[in-house]
Amino acid sequence: MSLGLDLKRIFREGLITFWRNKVVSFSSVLVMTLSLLVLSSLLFINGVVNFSLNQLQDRVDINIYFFPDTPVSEIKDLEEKILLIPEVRDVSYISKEKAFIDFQSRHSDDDLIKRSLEELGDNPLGASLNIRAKESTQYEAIITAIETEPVVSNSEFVERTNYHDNKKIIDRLNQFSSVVRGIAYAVILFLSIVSVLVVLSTMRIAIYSAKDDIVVKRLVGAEHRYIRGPFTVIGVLYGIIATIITLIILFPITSWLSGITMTFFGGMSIKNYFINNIIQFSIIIGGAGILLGFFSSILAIRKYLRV
Amino acid sequence: MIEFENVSKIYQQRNTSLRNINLSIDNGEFISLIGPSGAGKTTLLKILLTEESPSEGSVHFDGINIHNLRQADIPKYRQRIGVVFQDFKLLEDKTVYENVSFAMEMIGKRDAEIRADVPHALNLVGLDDKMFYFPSELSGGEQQRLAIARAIINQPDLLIADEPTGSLDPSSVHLIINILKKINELGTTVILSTHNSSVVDELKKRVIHIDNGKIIRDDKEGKYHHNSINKK
Repeated sequence: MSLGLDLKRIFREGLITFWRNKVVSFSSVLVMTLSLLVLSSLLFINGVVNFSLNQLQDRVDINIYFFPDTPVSEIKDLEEKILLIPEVRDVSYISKEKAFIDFQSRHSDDDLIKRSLEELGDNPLGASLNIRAKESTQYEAIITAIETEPVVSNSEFVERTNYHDNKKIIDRLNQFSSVVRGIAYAVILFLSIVSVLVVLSTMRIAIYSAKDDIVVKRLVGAEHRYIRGPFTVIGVLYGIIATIITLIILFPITSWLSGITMTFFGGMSIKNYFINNIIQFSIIIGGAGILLGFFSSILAIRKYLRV
Repeated sequence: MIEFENVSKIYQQRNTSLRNINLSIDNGEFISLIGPSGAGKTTLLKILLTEESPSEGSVHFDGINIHNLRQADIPKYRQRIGVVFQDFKLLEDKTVYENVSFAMEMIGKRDAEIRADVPHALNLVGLDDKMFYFPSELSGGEQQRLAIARAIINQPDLLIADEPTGSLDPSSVHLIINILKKINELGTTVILSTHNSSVVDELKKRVIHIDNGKIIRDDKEGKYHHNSINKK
């Protein structure tokens, strides 16, 4: 038999069986949709956890404070060198003038400081470099690299660095992040396994309901591909339909939940997160749905092919 | 065509269903397989269909030991056999037409051939006016005729009918036996397992009587009751 004819018949058989067994198809699509919604919620959990941890990490940085008379060229040279360190996300140069303005505005309500500055008559502050790492765990590596630079080790230029002051906070944040991520991944893994098992059981029930037909087909000489093929078509069809329903349902759900997440997670709107990542969501949910349908049907039918 | 050589089937080391069966069936024969319930008739047919393997001995079909076939080759072998079951074993989700066309699709027949042959087969069994019915909408006799249409559509070398008339009314029985006779006249070997004595007597074909797993009688043109056994 030609491959084209074979495939045409397998697809037609799958579609007809899907359509004629409406109750089985409906309940299988329903269960698969629920499983994909669980999977989607895991994607959102991952997004929210990452967003919250990144927000926390963004508040952590290290600063190198220079003496007021350090030449700007030396600081700029160092800035360029720091930017070459792979772990560094960004470096910002804060000139002594800007530092002075910032200081003034920060203490605009403090009369004592205001008067002291007036008495000094000159800018007592030096320039500084503000460094942020890609990950909060990378500060140690960055500071090690920076400390080998002559301009930093030269105490004539650098007044102080605040890494050692911030080290405790950074270490605690790293610990907290890894615990939160660990818990999130464990929940994701656990619920993913549960979802896969639920879908597998649903497919087993769907195929169990057709077990007599499978036996008949085997006895009248149907080859394995002719029995397995339509069920894999049905499994994939369940996956596609469940994906479409899941993506549609996610719009109102994320809209409704956005208000709550905006309040609890520092301004994160999961609706925007969903819309901005709709392609990734479609690929992950669609891929999971189709693969789940495909493999669960193959696994579920195996035992009935031994007649 | 078919050779059973010293075939025994033992279930769970105690229950012996077939004992040392030696049987030879030629091309074009019509065989009535008779015997009480539990005698071993169905086991013998299951072994022939490779649904079961013999515990001892071998079965050859056209010189090939069918229980040495690879899993992948069993469908090809089964495609040479048409089977009619007592419980019909129809595909409930398929229409009358699709139940028959499915058997043709299995062996790779083209759509044009299927469209031409299926109505013809359904006409032969008197179901051409119910092509788009589902099996649940048919009577028992009609379902059995549909099973026959499916079994003969690919012009098999062998037709196995396991108690095909068991639950049917006399007119349906007569119709089905006539169809089987017609198929046999066209050259298909037929093995009919039955309890129906009048059918066997009317056929006047070879009768194999099995009891307690053994062949106790093999008459070339026999009747249901052997003269020496029939005390009536």
